Amino acid sequence: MKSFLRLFRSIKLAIVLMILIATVAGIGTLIPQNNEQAFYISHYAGIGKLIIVFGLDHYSHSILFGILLSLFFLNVLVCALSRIVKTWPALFSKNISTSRFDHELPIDFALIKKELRKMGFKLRKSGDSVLATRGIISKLGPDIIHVGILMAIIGGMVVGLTTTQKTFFMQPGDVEQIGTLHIKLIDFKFLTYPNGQPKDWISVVQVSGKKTTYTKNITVNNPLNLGNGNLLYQSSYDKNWDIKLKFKGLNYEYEGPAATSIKYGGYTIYISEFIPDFRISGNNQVISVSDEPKNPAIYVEYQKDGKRVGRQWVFSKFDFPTDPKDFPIKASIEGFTSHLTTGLMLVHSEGDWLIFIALTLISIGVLATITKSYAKIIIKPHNNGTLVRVLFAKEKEEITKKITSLTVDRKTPK
Amino acid sequence: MNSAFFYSGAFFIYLLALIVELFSLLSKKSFFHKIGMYTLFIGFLFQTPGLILRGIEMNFIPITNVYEAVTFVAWIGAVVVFYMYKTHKIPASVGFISTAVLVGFYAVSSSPLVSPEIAPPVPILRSYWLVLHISFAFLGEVFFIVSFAAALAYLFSKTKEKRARMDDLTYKTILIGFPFFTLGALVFGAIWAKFAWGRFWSWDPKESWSLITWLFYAGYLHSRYVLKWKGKKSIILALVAFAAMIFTFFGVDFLGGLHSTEVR
Repeated sequence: MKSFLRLFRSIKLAIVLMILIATVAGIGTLIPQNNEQAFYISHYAGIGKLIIVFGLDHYSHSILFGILLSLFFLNVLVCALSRIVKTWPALFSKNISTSRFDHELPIDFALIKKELRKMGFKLRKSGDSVLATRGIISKLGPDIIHVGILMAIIGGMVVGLTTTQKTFFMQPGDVEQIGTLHIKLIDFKFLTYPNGQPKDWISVVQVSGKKTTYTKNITVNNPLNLGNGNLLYQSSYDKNWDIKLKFKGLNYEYEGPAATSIKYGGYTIYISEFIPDFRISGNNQVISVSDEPKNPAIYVEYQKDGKRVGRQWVFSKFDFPTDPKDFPIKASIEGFTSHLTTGLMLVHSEGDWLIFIALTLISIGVLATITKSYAKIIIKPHNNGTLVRVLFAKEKEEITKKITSLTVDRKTPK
Repeated sequence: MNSAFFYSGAFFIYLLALIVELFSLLSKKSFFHKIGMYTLFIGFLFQTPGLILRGIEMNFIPITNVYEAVTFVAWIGAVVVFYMYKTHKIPASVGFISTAVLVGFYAVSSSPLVSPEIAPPVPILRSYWLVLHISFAFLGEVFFIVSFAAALAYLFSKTKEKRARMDDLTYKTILIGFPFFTLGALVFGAIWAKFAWGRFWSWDPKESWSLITWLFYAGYLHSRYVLKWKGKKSIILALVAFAAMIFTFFGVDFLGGLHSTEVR
């Protein structure tokens, strides 16, 4: 047990672990994550196997990284406890040891007390001696940070193990069931700046539970807290298109959403996604360069008994031949309308509060470290002068010098 | 006069400060060092209305793209270097290197790859947690720039006293910068990520490299405070930490990730 504690109390181990964690994370960021094993073998040759063995293809969830973080956790835990055990008793001790003093100053005891108060010290009397302390908060700073880091690691594990995420798209009027709550989308607003750039997406939802019903806006960066660890985020949006297609030769008109298939006249007709702004990209892919219907197009394919018998790119603004050219059916776009759907993301996790506490502790800790540094001084009256002992102080020399110079300054007028 | 006028003018003033600092370094006259530092501060004052005007034009704090990020670092850096000059009497070598790094950052804004166009922020960037995240992280980083300058000056120092002073300055600037960096890059960053993406931490390359930078600086402080490292060993660690910081700032963009829509 002692050797275990000695090992994990070591600051050298902490530095080695920090370097190892940094190295694994650094290498991990340079390697594409979460691909198939074959990808690493083909792209990295011999190193590919090492990447897989060490789990660098998913480094943040790898066993190696988990071991390093666990060791780091133990290291911080033991270091923090050792530090607390070592420093806190002295920090809060009310006992004043007056067996030894460093300086005997020819200055009035009351005057030196006044000067120490001016320097920000708090004075506490014990017998005929006085204990002067300042900056206890600063001394506690590193301990608070260490506790915060430990909580962040625990919280991170809890959050990592319990987080689930689900995205769904809704149109106004749609209802989604989340636990016991009914979420109804009342409205979806897409706000833009004067130059047309997106400014915000706002989903107005009505939440109905067993006891209450309320309406709230969900915007980017402002999720809706549904309770029980559920948060609903405005994550994306989509533009859906309804189309009207006329099939000459079949004497048939289709009106409804794109990306569908229909059966009519012995044919199965596959209708592609609606492409509002058709363009052929550099690598011969069909793309839509904008959401605006500047060059609307749709692809239609005709099948009979599972085999393609004809196909056609249908453009709204110009005529395009069918394939084969003598195919008896020809489609034309007669109309189209768009409607927006909101993309909402439901995130469930259990340990958020742990992380919030951890981050609060780290913040308090780092702020504490930049306050006035810790110092502890004992003074005692002695033969019209004062005995002084500076017990703890980062600026021991500086404080001693200041008190000594005070002595000289005060003594001169006398 | 629009914001571009002040931004361009500030760049020339920073450049002038750099030339004066170089002159001070070569002539070894403290008078020029003083002029150089005050010129840097004038650059800061000159850039300030530009920053305000740009903010008014885009209706948000101008720290939402690369152009704004690098010029913001130079702006905040100019005042930090001047503050260090006034309080810690940083020598000409540190003044010159710090100014050179800040001018380097500013020069990135002139790169053809960086657009100076004023554009309002996309919805994900319209968050005051982001403002806290970026501004605190940058404040920490400019102290790290001064620490880098002091560490480099240490390596070129010939006397023991000067080396000891540079070692101490490296330590002090890291000691000041570290809390700001911790709050900005990690704490506020994690809170913003929770509100924006639903997760405190996603092991995105920028997040991972911020953590790496933090670990190196934390390692540096522990080695100083607990192991009592001083001198060359400590300086090398400070330089490695700074290299990680620069990679986090610029290099990580080539690795993609969630932060590709963010400021840098």
